[in-house]
Amino acid sequence: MTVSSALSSRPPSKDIDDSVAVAAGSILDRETFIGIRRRMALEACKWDPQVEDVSVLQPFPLLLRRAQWRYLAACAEALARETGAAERALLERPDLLSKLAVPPRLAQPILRGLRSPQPLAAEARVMRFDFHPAQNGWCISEVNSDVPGGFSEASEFPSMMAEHYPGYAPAGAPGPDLANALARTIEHIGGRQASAALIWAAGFMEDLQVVSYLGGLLRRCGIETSLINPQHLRFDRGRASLIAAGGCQPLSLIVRFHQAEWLSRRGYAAVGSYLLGDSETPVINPGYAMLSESKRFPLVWDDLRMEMRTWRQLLPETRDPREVRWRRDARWLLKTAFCNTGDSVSSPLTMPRRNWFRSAADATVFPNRWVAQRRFESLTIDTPLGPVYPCIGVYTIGGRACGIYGRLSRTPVVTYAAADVAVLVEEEFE
Amino acid sequence: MTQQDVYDAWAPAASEWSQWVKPVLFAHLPVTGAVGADMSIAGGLAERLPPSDRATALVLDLPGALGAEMAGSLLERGYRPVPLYNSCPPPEPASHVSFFSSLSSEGAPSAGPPAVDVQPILRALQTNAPLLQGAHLPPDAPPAFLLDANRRTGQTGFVSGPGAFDNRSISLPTDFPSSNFLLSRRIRRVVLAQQHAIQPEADLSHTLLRWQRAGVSIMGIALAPDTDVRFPQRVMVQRPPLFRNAWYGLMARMGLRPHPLGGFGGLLPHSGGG
Repeated sequence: MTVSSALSSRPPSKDIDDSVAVAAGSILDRETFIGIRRRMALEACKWDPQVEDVSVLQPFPLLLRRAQWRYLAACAEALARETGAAERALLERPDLLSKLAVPPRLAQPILRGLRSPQPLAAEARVMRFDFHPAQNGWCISEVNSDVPGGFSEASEFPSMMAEHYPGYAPAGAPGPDLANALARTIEHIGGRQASAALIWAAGFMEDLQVVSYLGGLLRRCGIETSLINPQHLRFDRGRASLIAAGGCQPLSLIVRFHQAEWLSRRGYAAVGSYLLGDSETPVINPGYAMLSESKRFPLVWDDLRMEMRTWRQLLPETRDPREVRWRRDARWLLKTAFCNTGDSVSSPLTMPRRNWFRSAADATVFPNRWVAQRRFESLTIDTPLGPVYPCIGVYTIGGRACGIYGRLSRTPVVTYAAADVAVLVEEEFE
Repeated sequence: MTQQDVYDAWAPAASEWSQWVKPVLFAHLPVTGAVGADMSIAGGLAERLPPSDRATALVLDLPGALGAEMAGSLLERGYRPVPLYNSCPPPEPASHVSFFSSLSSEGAPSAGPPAVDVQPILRALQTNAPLLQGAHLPPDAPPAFLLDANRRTGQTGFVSGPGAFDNRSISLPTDFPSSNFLLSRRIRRVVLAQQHAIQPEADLSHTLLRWQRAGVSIMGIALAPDTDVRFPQRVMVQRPPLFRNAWYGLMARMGLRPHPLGGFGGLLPHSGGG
């Protein structure tokens, strides 16, 4: 494979390696790993370390060469640039929001947010691009643009694992990097007291652990934090405050770990539009992140006349379900426009027939809420636990690549049930 | 005892059931000013629990800290208590959280009452840790899974309003071992112990029905003294709504069925974040 067009501006070099060969490190002894698992639970807010019979944290790392990480980082940064440009271009084509399956109720606030973006918030905008090694080189399945998670698993876990693998280091620390970016945003705003609210949907422990982790990091930066549900916010002329038992407290910043599409619910009418675009108080991620979160995002590139070179190179062909013969051709799979954890990825090859028929029926009746995508032949890697499919999620914060969330799946589709693995990168020696 | 000591007491490395212990409350230990919980009520309730025959596991779905307070009785009967409490205490006071130990909570906005009061559970976990630490159970002692029956509804009178910390949660099948795992450990019977009822709560039905269909016998017992169900009775677990519905996209799309907890979907299927 040639060097990606994402990097075509620089000459091919031994410093950049686009090979998909990912190695698994040796397995840690049981006692050492139990210690790491315990530290993750007690110190790093990893509160779901077990899913049924599967230990979510894997006792061995994936190892990347430094030049491979540079390649993935450069691709992610190029993807982030292109994503931002396409989002801005959508301001000129508001008609395309329906093509993205954005709920009509949310379209106007999102457009208003796009029209007057908060430059400070842009520095803390976080995305995660999920890379998969495939037959023809690296490819991406999606961008987690709206509410990417996994910060503790991508920061603390690799750091703890790296202590046992001399010569290797974490690719970065996206959790602390995000907290620092948020702290800088608050610092620029000024004000008497720095306070941030982290919003999550009640009942989702997986989400609560993310905001708890980020909240802890923010407090370490001297910022008061509150973990709240959207209905605990009040907006006065666009400025957010927290409704607490002792009265309202102005907020410097809101971290939205709450899906944008869920804010279309009637119960959120009072705050939904603010969280998606009408707030004067910075909201991270901004509501317009929902535009690129849509799996139908690729369907508007031609309408926008965007080149999207890196995206087009790395993303499998993606079409409106009405345009392709996905019913007869198993090389296509289906996914819903807002498929958050791989739960709606549908293929007759990877799911029970009954579920496939239900997906197919729904995609037939509501094709504008689905997308068809070419299946790619994901490569397995050999690990101490047998062959598995790796997914290398590269974060960008403010457009800069800053770490990896590694997951392993027994099936080609990486879902919520995938295991977490620390990805370590060969250390650089002067 | 340190936070780690308490965790290790409840989740000893030697027990294969330890991997299912939910760590969230342990991450918020130690509680300061802990006082000994009143174990006499729990001890009285435990009298109806059957002693271990190595083929029976328990699921204790009891309000508040009652399950954790029964730890001593469970050990005496030959069970390994496995806390599955999954509600998080409010973020204050931050100094109680080891991860945030260097942080100050001064000036933080005052929070209202949490939906689920986990302080009694924290106290019971801490107070009973020495019992667990000194227990001499065999590594394969059958498990007694501990749940807070208030997890879905919160405390009586709780309203998810301003200032309230909504820490309600739902028990999911993925919180437990699979039926295959249970059977592979020769667990053939599960006794569900509740205060008054013997039919399981809706969320727990998803787990128990899976087990039942795989051949694990489900029994129920009510522990309150004023109930008549003094011995475990056979329970035919009712099929809950959306049982084994692994595909939630359709539900999400069809109007995002508002969930009473504030998320969406009837079953809290997956994390919201990607």
